[in-house]
Amino acid sequence: MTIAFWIFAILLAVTLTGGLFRTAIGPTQSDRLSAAMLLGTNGTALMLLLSYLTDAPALVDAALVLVLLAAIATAAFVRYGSAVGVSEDRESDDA
Amino acid sequence: MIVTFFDAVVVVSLISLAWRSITVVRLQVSIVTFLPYGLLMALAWARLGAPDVAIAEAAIGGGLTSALLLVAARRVQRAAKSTRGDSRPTAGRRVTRRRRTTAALGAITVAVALMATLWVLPADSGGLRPMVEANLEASGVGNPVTAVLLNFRAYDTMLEIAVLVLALIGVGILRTSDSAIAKEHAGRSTGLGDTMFGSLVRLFLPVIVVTAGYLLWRGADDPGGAFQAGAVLAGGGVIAVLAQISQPQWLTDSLVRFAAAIGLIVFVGVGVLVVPFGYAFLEYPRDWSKVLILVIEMAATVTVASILLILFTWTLGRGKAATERGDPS
Amino acid sequence: MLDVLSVVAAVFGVGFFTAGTVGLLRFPDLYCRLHAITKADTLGLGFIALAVALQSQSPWVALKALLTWVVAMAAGAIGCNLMAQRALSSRTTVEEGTPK
Repeated sequence: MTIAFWIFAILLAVTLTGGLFRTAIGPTQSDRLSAAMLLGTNGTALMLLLSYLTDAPALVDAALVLVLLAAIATAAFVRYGSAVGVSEDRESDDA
Repeated sequence: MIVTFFDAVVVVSLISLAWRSITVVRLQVSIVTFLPYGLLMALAWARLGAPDVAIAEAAIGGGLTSALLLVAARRVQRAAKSTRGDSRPTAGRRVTRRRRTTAALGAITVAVALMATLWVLPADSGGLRPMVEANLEASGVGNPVTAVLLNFRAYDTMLEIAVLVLALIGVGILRTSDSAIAKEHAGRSTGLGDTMFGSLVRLFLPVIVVTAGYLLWRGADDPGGAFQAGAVLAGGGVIAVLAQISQPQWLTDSLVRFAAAIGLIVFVGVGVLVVPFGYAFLEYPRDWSKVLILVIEMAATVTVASILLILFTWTLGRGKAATERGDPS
Repeated sequence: MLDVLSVVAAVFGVGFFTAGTVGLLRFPDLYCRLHAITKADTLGLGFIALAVALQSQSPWVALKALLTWVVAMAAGAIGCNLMAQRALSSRTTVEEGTPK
């Protein structure tokens, strides 16, 4: 049972690493931020699994806090990210 | 064995993220690469058996740092653009080969020294836990972390809050307002309407406020506490600022400054208050421990939230020192 | 019995997360990628939250896990909408998002 959950945790950690690739590659800034969004959710799932695996129910609180504040990054980017319309975040230094 | 594999994935990701966010040239890329770092750190803390820190890191590293960095990057870009005509951030002094090798050698030395120290430490020494557990009864709370932070080592925590206030003052002295952002704000409608940001505020702020209160209350006996609650509350405030809610009438400048100071005031106040009764500074009377700790925690939550929120608003470059707090009225 | 349910739910959860990540990496376009990650948000996290909720000691912890799922869905929906709006307003055209 625990072993199974550890395997799931590892698989989720691997998908997390996969998402990191998009932050590396993503041609536009929006791609990178959308990858960051997925990473937030992925991390939340991992946190939930860890709450069971390390026998710490408080980590569910940590997961809750994570999702509550995950939207902030997206909101900040949409509001105050690199100026929209200025050679919109292609491989240029503006982005 | 399997557990080690999991740890390995997390550690490798952490290191490569750290490396990449430093070595990447473009500012925006390096910032977005850094954003998951806070998340991974929260997972690392969880794995290390420190749920209190995991909650705090989730709040600060997962949300607040992201917003702060993204906003700061924009101002850096704009500043660079206005001075140089393009928006590449300036490189500063030339980084010569000599400086680079010196820095590398210094960093490697410190890293090796740290690793050697860790290697030599006894594996399962238990640390201070036995001592804390022995005195937990007398501390007035059930959570050992809260007991240490707000009772056994309350003096340190008080000084930490003082450092926060000092940092706020320092930033306040150095900040400049960003006229472009001020103009942007002036032109925008401040009603929530049915925009996406409106939905964000309406859905999230109530839950955030309740969660903060919950964390504060649970801090007494379970992982949680003032800092976590304050950070979550600050996150709510950041959402309100991002949604550009008009500032409520009752939120004056002086009220905000008072909120930033109240944690320290109450902390020192409590410490001084017990002295006439024959106790030392910050030595809580046994029966009053729990109440005093709760009072201090409530004030500390307000202070931490205010300071973090003010710092964010100042980074944004808003001209006024005032901020949005908690729920819009 | 509860264990079996948890494992099955977790399998589905991990499956959806994998699908979402693969979509994030392989889809040609920002809009398609946003579509992929919302699937991971809702279904992936939902199943994982269910798995953890089934295993939790107290009903309150289970409720908190499910609350996490609900909040994640809200955050995901709002976030993706915001991102898409921004991309649209900056005239990021469909299909041109990837370098070869």
